[in-house]
Amino acid sequence: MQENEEQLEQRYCRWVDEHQGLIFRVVHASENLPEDKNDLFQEILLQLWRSMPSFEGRCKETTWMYRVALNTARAWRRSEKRRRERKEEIAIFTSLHGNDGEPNPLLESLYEAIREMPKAEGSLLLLHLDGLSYQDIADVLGVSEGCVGVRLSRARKQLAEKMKGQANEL
Amino acid sequence: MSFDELQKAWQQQDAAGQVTIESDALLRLVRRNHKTMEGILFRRDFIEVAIALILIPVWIWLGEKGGLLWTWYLVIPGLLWIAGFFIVDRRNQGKKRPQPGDSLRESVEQSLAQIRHQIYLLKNILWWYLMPVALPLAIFTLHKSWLDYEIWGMANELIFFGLVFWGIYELNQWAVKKNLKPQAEELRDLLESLNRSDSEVESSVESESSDKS
Repeated sequence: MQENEEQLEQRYCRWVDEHQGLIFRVVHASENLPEDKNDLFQEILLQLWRSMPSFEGRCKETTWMYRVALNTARAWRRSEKRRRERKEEIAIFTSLHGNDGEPNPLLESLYEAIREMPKAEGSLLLLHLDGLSYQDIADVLGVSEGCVGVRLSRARKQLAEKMKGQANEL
Repeated sequence: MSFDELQKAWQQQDAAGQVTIESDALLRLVRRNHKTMEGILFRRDFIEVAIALILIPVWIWLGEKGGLLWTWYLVIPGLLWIAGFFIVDRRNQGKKRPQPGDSLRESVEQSLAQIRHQIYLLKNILWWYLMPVALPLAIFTLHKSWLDYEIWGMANELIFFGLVFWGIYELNQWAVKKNLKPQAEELRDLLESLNRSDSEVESSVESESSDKS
């Protein structure tokens, strides 16, 4: 049964509310400048809204959201010039901080390392850090489950190299 | 620090404390965007075709007003061809557009196919866009000069139109080189890196099974 506009909006708000952390992490792992983060965050929210009617429940909500977020982040870099004129702020970012409210240099370095990695590896690592199973990662990326394992060990080595001195036992 | 500890720190990030979403503004944006997106898609398809179609009555009016030769009207089939080409191409390509919910690999494949199609169109712009108009215009110019015995006028007009069409052609080739080819290369690299790991897994499984046997 097709949802009406109101039901769709309700589902959308619930998704954004429950999984905003997922979008937040993809945005941070993709862009560094605050204005870029804001723009990308907004673009992902819009793409998510546009994608809602075609979600048929064949995959998990989170798999769908990761796909939308990663695809938007991948394509967005190339359309920076066509960046829409923002009339009002949808999201306000603060600097990264841990649970204690203090800035977290380790997380900053981790995000920076992911941003510097090739996109496929960066996406893989982000999904792995988020705790997704190999099957779920394979679903998001559209690769085989076996490939996730091979790729992940390589990505972890790259991460260890980039984070030398901060996280030696990766 | 071990990877597990790093993962734990990662998962303990409190997104709610670091990004504040203005729910009302978000809903206003998506409602507004829903309407404007429909408008943008319609206008984008409409304008490209409309320009070619609007030129037809203008062309006829100019021909009638100036009492021009019959070869003047040869441009009209060219304009109709361009409008038809746009409609058919847009319809075909519209079905292949990447969807936000596709997997990363599907999305990259679709984007790459789309960019390759754009490159193909712009590289061949001479045949489907410029020639259908340039050729009838050249025929008209030659016809008119032949009847008027105006060799220099004809030469000047041909050079002028030649330069305009050459400029359009070069501008499009520049866009291919400057924008589309780097995008295609970037996408191809990403796709290859996704595909490569699959083939690596297959080859490692094959070598493992051959080792066992």
